Amino acid sequence: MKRDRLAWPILLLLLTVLIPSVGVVWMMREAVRNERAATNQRLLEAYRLQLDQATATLKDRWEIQQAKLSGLFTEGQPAFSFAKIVTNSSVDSVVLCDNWGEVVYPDRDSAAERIESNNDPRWEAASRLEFVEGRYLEAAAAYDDVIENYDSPTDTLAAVLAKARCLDKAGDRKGAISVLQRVSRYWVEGTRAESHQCAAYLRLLELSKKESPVWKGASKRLELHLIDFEKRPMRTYQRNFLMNEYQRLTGESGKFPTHDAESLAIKYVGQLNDGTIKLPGGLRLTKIPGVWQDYRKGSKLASLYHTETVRKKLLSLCEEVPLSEGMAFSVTAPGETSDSLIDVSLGPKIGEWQLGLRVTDGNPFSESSKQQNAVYTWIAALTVAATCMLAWLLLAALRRRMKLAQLKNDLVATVSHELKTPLASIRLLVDTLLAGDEAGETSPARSREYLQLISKENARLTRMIDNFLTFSRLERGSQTLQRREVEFAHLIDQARTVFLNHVPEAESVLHCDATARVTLFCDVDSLVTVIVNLLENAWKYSADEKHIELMADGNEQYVTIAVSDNGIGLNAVDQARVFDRFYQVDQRVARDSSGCGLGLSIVQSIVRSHGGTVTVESVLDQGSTFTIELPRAVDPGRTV
Amino acid sequence: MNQTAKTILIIEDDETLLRGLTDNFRDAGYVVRTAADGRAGLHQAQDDPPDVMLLDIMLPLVNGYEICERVRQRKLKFPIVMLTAKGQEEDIVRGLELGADDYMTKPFGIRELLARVNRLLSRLTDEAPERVKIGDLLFDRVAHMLFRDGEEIPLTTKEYRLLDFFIARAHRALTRNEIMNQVWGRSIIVSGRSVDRCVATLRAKIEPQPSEPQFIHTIRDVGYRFELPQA
Repeated sequence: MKRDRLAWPILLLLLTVLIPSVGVVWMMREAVRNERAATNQRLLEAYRLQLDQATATLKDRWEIQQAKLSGLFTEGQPAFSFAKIVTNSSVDSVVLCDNWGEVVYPDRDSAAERIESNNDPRWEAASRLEFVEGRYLEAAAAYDDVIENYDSPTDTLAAVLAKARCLDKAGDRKGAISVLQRVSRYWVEGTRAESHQCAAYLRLLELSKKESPVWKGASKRLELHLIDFEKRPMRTYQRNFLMNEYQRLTGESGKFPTHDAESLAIKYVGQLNDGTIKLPGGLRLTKIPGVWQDYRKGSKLASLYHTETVRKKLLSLCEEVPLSEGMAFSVTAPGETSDSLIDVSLGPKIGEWQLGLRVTDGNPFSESSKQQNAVYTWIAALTVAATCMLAWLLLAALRRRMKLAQLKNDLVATVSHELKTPLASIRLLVDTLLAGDEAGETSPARSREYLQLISKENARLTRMIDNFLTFSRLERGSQTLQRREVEFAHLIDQARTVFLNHVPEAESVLHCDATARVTLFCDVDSLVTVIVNLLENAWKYSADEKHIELMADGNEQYVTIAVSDNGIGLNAVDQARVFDRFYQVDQRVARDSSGCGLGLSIVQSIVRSHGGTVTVESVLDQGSTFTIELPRAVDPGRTV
Repeated sequence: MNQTAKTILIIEDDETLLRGLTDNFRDAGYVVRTAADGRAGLHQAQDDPPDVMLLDIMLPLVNGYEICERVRQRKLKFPIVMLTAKGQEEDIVRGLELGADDYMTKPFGIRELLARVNRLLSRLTDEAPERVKIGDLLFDRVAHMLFRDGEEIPLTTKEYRLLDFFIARAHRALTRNEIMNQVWGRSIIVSGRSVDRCVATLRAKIEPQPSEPQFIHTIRDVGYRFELPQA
């Protein structure tokens, strides 16, 4: 039943702690979340601002770069311009055109150029000998005749090539090489002548032994031809072809910085429908996968980029743009998935590429809200701690009250028992006397004895009721002291007498020493009660061989009353609690001699109401001394 | 009194009360033994069991409840009458459930106490006779039949078991719990109200005036006591 009574208050207490704590924690969590969201928002806005500024800068720089490219173009020398642009800029390739977008470089022509036949009968005869009759040596001789009689270096070179071809077909490799070696003597002009000469060098590379002086010479000469865009013009396809062949025959790559650009340009032009560059207006994806063009209306060139080149270029244009710590720019092509924090489109002129910001170091969002989160966390923790503390204090207060209520209940039960027991004795003795009287069976001796017992029980009952009423008045604070001047010695003597009336057998063990001749302004009955209570306690808690001392002394200002015994003594814990209401040191002794733990509490209350103090000194198993100190002079009319 | 004087052990710490009780029981022909604290009383009860015991509850060293419990643990079956000043239901019920047969609340009348003790000593034991006279009723315990002036009064099974239980424990204060456990068994669906209802129907059958019962007396907040008229 007691558990049932406690269950609800404990449950309510738990709810009192839990519900606010949960509420606070939830609120703080929401606050943290909101703060984080707000911080993130502010941070994002700041980043967006930075990004917008970077985007504007990047766009400007891109336009400047494109303008610089146009500045590299040299009118009238497309091949030279091509080489110049490709080698002096970061483009992957470039296509040159006229004002209407028609491609001028790479020049559109068939990949292989055949040596044009002419109407010269000697050439025709030589050709017939070579191609129709297969008489190579005679054909070679015939070509020789052509060489002797031609004035044009271009035609002569063609004849030399033909002769070398025939000698090679006839198995005279040496003769063929010797013929081809004569090619380098000729100074040629024009693309056809250049082509023939380079073709001759190429043939020498094929025919001569690798790394031989002839081979090396041909390689060098060919290389020089191929890299000289200014003085040795050549058709794009031829040059590209020759470069490819050179790489194949020599095994050397990277000799020609424009090679890849040439190949890309040719590839690009190959996918144009009518040789005209379309889609002006900036960076666009071409039909070639992964290749972008940037062509502006009225411009004479279209720059070509691979996707990665665009990416690197855009990032390089962002260099030295102010940016927050821990952040970096990122660039995303259209159609790619971005892992940036935020992205901004660079617009149609830069092919709708996106410039973004990504985090490189840590988490700026968590860093920024960390401090505020710490504040909220501390607030929540302190609130919960305060709630728990208050709940603990409340619980402690409740426990004290419950304990007090329990003590009061126990008191009621104990007092009830203590009052009923003498009543039961009185009733029993009276009934017995009456019954015996009716039957004439009670002896006078027994009658007298019973009447004495009844009287004793009556006195005991009276004292008990008085004690309880005193306690009750003290509890309510309504005890009124009836003070008067009294001789101190007289007070002591009165208390002694009352005590011995209660406990006549104590006379032999009680020693009094009250020599002070002073007066005291006090409530005599209350103080007598105090001293009697102390003496009764001394009697109760003393062993079989009792020794009780009552010492009283006084001076101008104070009187002192000390009651000592040789009883069970008190340990430190008991000394601290002995004046508490309902506290009983030894239940066995208490039950033996009746009492409910109010005596010393009453003593303390009365002494304090007189402005005095009561203390105890005690040694376990040796005895105790209770000392009262009272001021002699107290303001008249003071009530409690 | 019986030819052999009965022994009564009185355990009471109050000197005056103990004196009064001792004189009265001695005058009534009992051999009186006393103890002024619980420990001494328990030793006496265990070492030399009396015929009946008067037991105060609030005793020094060992309280009355503990004495009651330990005596019954030893299978000592002499009647025990509690003397209690508290008088609260839970205190009385607790004592009865620990094995006390009856109780008296202080202050009590000595005549009533003597009568209760006498009745306890003269009550029927577990070997009750097959036929028991209850006023003008005759209860045949073997045939499970109740007669008034030769006419059968039908009893339900529960009523029979209740009446049989009452007779076996006449003059004792019986708690509702004890009645439930003995008559109904430890069934969780039976409550004190079931006992009250059964008592009411039994009263209607055996009491001359059910509103002023002679046999089945109600002990408020505790239970019932069945008084067999003295032969």
